[in-house]
Amino acid sequence: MALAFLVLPVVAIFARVPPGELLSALGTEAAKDALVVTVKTNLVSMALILAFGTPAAYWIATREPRLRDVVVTLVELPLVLPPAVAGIGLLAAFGRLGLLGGTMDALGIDIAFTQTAVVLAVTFVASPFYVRTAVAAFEAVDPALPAAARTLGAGPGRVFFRVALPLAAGGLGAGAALAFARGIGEFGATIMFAGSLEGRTQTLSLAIYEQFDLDFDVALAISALLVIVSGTVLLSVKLLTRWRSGSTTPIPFAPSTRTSS
Amino acid sequence: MTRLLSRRRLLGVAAGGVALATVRVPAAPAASDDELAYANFGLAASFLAADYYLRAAESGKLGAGARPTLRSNRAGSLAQARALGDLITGAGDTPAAAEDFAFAWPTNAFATAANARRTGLAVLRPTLGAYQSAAATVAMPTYRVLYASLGASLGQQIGALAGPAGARLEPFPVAMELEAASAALESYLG
Amino acid sequence: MSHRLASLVLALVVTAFAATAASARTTAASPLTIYAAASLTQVFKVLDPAPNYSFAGSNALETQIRNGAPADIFASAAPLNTQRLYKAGIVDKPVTFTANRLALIVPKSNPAGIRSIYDLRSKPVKLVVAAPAVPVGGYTLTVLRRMGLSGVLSKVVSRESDVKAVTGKVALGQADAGFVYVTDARPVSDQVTVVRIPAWAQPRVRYEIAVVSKSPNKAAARAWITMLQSARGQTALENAGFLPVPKPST
Repeated sequence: MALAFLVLPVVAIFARVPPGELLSALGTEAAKDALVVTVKTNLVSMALILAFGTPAAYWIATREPRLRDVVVTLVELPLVLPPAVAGIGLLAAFGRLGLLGGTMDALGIDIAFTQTAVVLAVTFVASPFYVRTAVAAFEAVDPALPAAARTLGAGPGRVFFRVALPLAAGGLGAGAALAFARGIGEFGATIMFAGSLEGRTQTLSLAIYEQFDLDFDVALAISALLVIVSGTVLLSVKLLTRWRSGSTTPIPFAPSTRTSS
Repeated sequence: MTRLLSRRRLLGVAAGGVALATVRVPAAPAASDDELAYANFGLAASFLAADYYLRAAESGKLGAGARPTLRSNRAGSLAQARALGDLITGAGDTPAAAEDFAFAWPTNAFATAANARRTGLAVLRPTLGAYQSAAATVAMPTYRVLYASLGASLGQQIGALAGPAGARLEPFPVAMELEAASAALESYLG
Repeated sequence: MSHRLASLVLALVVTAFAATAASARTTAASPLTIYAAASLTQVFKVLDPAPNYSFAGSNALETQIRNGAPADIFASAAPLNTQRLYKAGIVDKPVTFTANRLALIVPKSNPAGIRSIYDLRSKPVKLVVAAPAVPVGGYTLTVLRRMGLSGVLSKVVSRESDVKAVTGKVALGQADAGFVYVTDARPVSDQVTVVRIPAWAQPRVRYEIAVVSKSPNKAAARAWITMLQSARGQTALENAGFLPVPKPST
């Protein structure tokens, strides 16, 4: 029963419009532009989240418990904020009249209504999903293994890249999937902070909202596209996690079985 | 009596000028942005002029003999409004109607004959300036002809109002940019 | 044990839904549900705080009502939306109840230095307008077309879903300029400056209101509309800056 409740709206999206019309509706300028904007901004956002979030999560995971809990709670704050509040927060911080507005003005940085603003909004709401999961993934790594690596003479950088990261990869992947799904679905913070302009800042979610009263079929088509994209990401990460946990944990610095000699 | 007669004659000339300016504009391919702006402004200005002539006639300050010509000037202004409305419709837009405007006249606008004439000049001169601009800048020949003709009519109306009061007529009336003409009529257009 | 828990949760959920559904279908004594254009937010609440209001862009409200939203009354900022629902038999015959004018607003700090609407053409400006399907968005296009300033649309940085979003972005200083109704500038008059749009460029703005056909509170709804058209309603509207409906001249 609960399963039906969760699945029905998704099925209904595909049931209402025949696939042929779906494809032609996707061919409209609005849908294509929205797809490009969404993909661009979310790829940049994910890159930022992974690049900054991964070392941050590792750092948090390796602190002593009390400090770790405090930091994790801070990081989780955007999670519990309603998107509209996130939007107002971003405006209050980075808006022209916001806290950093004057500084940015002086530096000549103007992000109002740009794709940069979209990236900022998406990163803000999606990063907690990644960091939280990543911290848990790093915590799950058996501490004996990085310790063993260190006793064998590996520096902290090598420990991170060659030991912790591969071991936590499954969890990191799951976190990335969650963050990505949240990111492409972002609406409230984006429309408040970056506005909505076709071809520049109008993401798939914003396009659905605009097409909702203009052409319901196009709105349905874009929704279907979002479902497919989200579903694909979810599925691929699930498979990735299964594959990683299925294979044996590589022992660092063990001599390779394929020697060149 | 002679003064009244010459005033009547001048107003009659103006009425004739207004009548001549009544041209039915054939629907033409899309006018440019600027051309439509002059048409929309002229439309409002024509309704404004029509309202002026109505109130001037009702006030009676310009003399009982002037009343018929004031009324026919009003009819002429409305005809000019119709012509401009046709131009706008032909370009695919909806023209404004008389009831869309709530004209505002200063308190003593029609208190004396001199005031009434001054009010008329204040309203007609910027309109003439705008039509001159339009005739000079607009691209479509049919519209240029219309604006030139409207300008000529306005010139005659101004002459009729200015002459008897002794106000000087300019040998080279200056064209007014739409922005300036709009600002000049802003307080009247409401 | 988990089965019983699941059934309990399910029962709670179903009850909650039933309760909300029941409250949506009000009895004659309970408050009306009024879906109204965003620009009517302040004036309707001042006129009568009792009804349940939902304020949004008139086009969004039209779609919601078309898809069965439980409104008793629909007040739209453009005749198009009410007339479309009337033709589909979803609302009763609409009546015009007020008019409005457009204004160009800029933040008090006026970062782009806009002093007249013609400055939009010559200066770099972050312009915010409503989406074309929203009434005020359509009216904005009309104003620009009438003034020969349609080229200004290339400076639009965002198309919002209702007029309050446009007002908000200008009031916050995010946008350099935005097109709203004169009535929207009033509540934020300490944060924005109004740049007048000439009367000859103003579009014909007409607000229409109609009773939703399948409303269970039709009598109360009709009475509310009558109140809106009476001296009490019209005074409240005029105090907020709305215009009386012009009578067609002979």
